[in-house]
Amino acid sequence: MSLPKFTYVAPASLDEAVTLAADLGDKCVFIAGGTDILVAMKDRVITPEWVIDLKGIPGMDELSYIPGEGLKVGALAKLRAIETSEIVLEKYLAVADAAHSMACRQIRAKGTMAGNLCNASPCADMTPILLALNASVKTFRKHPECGRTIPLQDFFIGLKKTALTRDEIVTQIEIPEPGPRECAAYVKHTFRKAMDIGIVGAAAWLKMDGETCVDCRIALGGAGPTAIRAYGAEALLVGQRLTGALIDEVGVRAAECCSPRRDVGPRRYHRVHPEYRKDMIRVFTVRSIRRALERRGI
Amino acid sequence: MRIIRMKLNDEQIEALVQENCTLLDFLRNQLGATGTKKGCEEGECGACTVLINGVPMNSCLMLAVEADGQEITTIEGIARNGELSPLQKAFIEKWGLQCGFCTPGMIMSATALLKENPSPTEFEIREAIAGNLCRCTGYAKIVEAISAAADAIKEA
Amino acid sequence: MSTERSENLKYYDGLRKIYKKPEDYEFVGKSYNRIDAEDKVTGRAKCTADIYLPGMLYGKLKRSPFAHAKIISIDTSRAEALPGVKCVITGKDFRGGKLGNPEAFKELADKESLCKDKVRFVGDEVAAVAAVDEETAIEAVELIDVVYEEFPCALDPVEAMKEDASVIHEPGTQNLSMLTTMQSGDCDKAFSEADYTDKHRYSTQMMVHAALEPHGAVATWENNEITIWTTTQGAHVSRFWIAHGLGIPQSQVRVIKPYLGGGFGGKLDVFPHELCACLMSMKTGRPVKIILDRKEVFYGTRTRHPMELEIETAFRKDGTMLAKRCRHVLDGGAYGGSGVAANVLSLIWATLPYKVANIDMMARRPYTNKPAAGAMRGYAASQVHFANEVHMDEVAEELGIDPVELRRINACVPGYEGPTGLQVTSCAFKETLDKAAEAIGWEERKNGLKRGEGIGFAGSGFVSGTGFPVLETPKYHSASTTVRLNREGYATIFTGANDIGQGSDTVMTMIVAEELGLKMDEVKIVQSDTTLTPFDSGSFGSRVTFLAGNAARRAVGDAKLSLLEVVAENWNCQPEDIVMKDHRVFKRGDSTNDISFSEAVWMYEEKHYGKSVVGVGSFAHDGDKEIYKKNRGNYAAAYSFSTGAASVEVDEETGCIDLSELVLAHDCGQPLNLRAVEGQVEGSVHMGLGFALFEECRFDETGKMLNPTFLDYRFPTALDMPRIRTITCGQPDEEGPFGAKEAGEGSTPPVAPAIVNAINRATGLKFHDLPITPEKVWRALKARKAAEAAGVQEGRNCGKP
Repeated sequence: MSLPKFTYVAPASLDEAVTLAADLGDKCVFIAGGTDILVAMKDRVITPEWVIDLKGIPGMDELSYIPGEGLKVGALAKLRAIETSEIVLEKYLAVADAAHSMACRQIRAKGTMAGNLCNASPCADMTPILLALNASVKTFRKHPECGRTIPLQDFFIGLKKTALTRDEIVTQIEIPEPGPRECAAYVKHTFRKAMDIGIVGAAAWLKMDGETCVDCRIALGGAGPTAIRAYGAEALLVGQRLTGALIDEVGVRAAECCSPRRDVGPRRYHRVHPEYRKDMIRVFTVRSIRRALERRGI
Repeated sequence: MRIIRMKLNDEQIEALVQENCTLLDFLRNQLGATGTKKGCEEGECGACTVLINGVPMNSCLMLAVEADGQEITTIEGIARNGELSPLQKAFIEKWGLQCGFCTPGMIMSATALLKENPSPTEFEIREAIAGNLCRCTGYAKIVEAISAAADAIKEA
Repeated sequence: MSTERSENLKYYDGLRKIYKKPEDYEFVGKSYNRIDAEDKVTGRAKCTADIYLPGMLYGKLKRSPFAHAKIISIDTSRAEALPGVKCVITGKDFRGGKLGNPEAFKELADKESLCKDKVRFVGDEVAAVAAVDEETAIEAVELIDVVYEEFPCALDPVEAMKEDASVIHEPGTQNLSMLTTMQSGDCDKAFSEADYTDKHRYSTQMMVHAALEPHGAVATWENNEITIWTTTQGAHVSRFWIAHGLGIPQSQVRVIKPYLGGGFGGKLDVFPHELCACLMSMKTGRPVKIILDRKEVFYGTRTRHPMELEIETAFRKDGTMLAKRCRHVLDGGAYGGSGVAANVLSLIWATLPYKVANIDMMARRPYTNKPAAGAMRGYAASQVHFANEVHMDEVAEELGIDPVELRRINACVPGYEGPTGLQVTSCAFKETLDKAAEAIGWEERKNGLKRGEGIGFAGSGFVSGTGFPVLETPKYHSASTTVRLNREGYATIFTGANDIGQGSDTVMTMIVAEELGLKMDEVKIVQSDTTLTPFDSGSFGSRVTFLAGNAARRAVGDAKLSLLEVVAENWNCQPEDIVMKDHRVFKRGDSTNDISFSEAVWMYEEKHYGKSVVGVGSFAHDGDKEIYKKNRGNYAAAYSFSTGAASVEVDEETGCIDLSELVLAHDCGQPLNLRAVEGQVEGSVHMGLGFALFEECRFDETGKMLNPTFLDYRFPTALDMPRIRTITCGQPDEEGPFGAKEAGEGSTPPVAPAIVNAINRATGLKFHDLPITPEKVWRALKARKAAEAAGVQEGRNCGKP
């Protein structure tokens, strides 16, 4: 299917981009990689009159690591750049894994982490691991204040909905510096080994003192309309010596924390029964914790 | 309509394109470069894979205007001066194709892989072509061909 | 083995003496490249969508949003008013007849080029537009206003046969598109005397071909003739139906098949987009191109018949199968087309690859309000062999006989005549069983399988070349070929065989090169163009290598004999004393009589006042329409046999299945090229694996397909494929070209049941319904656990120690 007609603009600055967006309102859409948006446009799910391409804005494709602060992922950084970045592979392997688990190489070469977050799909692969790592999203807008920092856990407000306002652009994702004795992992359940949307994605971050977990975060994709933190499951771990039995129990609790409903939207054929999805949340929560512990690093 | 300039298979070109025209349609409809195939138009089959600055991407998910200023390589630019690339030769010799519809995209993905990783394992080859669907071959002879090409490049 | 050869087969026996001897083979069984490979690796290969003609318009179809509805009115005025729109047509613009597939059963043709009164599935074609570009055509289609009155839809095939079901075509037919029965021997007696009897049900899902190239056509009306480049698997059959649909003579239709990006059966039928491109070109005087988008290919072309199978068998305790009853229900979807053959085929497959004397079988093919089901690789055999082979393992377990041994006990052998009249000639089924079992390490591994590990086997029998020519032809022949020898040092073959990616152009070229001692590039092929090439019925039923290959060999043999008779006369010897090899023509064992190919052709033309050396050949299977009316007789000139062996691991937590290895032993007679055979088998494994575990078209309650994309339909990627080992078995077949039999289709059906049998062994469960999704495995394991926890003993042995 060819694309519907639209006007294409590639602003050279954030300022220009948000001014345009403020003027155009619902008539425009931003693209970074465009891998989700162009498909939706071909299918006539959305028919914007204007496409605002952010790629021309300089300086937003950088990946930088600042010791003591952490990783700053520019909104235009490609998933492929993230998964192959030496610093990401060294210090944030679980993030690289999550990026790598998506679609295929061609898509990851064009798609961005920011785009994956802004698409706000319940099964987005970047969300659980970034939630587990306590990431936040930096934005730009004219009013109020030239933008803000939104903790990722406040970023998703519903199915395919984010806290962003119409004229607000994500500029960067910030992932805190991993501390010593911290470990993390992301595991995903798919039917095919590539080119597949996760049925469930589970991310675990743990801070260990010997065999004891002193802090943790567990985040789940595919568990509801947005990715969620499994607070109840986390509570079971904190302060405890980690045994196989405890980890299994955490899995059970994680599954209880969420209430997957029947899938909705265009992907509803994916429909696995909520019961199965729930049990997979249990299985993959356990697997994410196990993998994190095996790895002893992020 | 917009004017775009790009380097296509080492040649500088300039063209007037519709803003809603994908790079794939631009290549096929406007330039007649039909080696790049249209299988699904939604980034799910890889038949339209081209190299953008050496990196494989789906040309169906890229606007022609997005390609402005980039270096594009298509299957038509793989053979040099009538000489087939080692990958092309290996696909022929190992029967790494049947209907041939996925072949240009496969070769583009494989070309990028071997540039980046001259000695890929079988798993790495399979990963690199996971976004290139093939319905005929079961991928076996494609994987074999890419592996043989890697060996041939190293020996050369 | 039957030694009496028919007059038909003997007709060309005079050529046998000059055919190349196996010791002289330069290509057969050796390694050579595909003739189209360079075109395909360079991007030069032009498919239908790659054709651009000056002034060409782009067409798009208006499709029904309802599964079953009456068309009250169609208003095209808004579409016609849109700038850039050049033509809008509806059903009333067509003057020809309805579209179908077999000419012999023309009365079954049930598809209008565009629907006039009612629509029968979501996607049924009601109008078409041609415009200056695709975008305008898409916009115009949206502006066509169709008023429908919705009917209740019948989506379930069993429900569709009930009295109160919505009528899809004709009232009073129980919505049956086909009904077939076959009986032989005395089933009741055999059942009453058996040591073991059983009854099981199986089912398979809707699958699609998913060839990478979407269907499409480019048509142009010039000089009172339609030329259409189209994605067809059978150019001559397409010509027949296109002419029929347009209401013009076949002489005024030229069908050309450009490079085809895969078919698998999905491009066998004639489709409305082809007729619409033709008619809109006739109306506008400009070329019209219509390429379906991927979603249209999914929901608007053809599918593999979903089937429900009920099987009852009777065995002696020594493992001998005595009788079989079966009841098949094939979900035909909205139309017949090539799908009508599935019914009878499903019953024929049920009599292979095991001997059974007493049968009582029935197949019904109801219409439903879903996309029409048609031919697909391993046509009907994939479903039937799945059920039968999974069933075979269950019998083996009940009788306490090793599953490979049970298959050996009942295996078809050379000379076997089946209960419906199939005559097995060459047959190495037992060899395929033995070799597959050995390769997978069955004897060593079978008692040491760990929890979650399983090995499974499945056999298959298939036609090596269906004899059915689709159209009515003299002597029911289905392939004819012309070969011309040129004094400039090359030969030209004119063949109607349709290369759909499998490599038939290479095979035809090789056959000619082999017989003439030419290099492959000294044989030029003219193929699948109805104006330039003789009749061929198409690429289906595993017929191309065997039937078209035989026609090619006979054609080149005919030319060769004419040539050698002249040379032999000059050399005072017999034609059979002369060898053509390595571009030379020479008398065996006599170095003085040795000339080049060109000199030999010159010699012939010199003698015959410039007349060219031309050979013609054909292949007709012994049989006539009666076979297909009575459903009794020998359907093919030969049969292929194979065994699949799968090794799987099951993740009991998630239900995910990892297929680590698949061995496929296939009796293809003499392989003409080992790489080609392996390629066909590897492709079969891909499709069989998809059938077993991944692929399924799903519909909502209104008949709308839910997953018409590659992302959602999920066929295996490169990472999902197992290690594949292909083992070729058997001996050269007496009638096959150079002894070859088919390799593309018969190797598909054993894959899925081998995988399912491995899963059943790994889990101790009994799966009867495809596909085996992780959720299905998870659910079954959970149910068993719950039953065990409740202290309930399962009635049947679950097979796990």
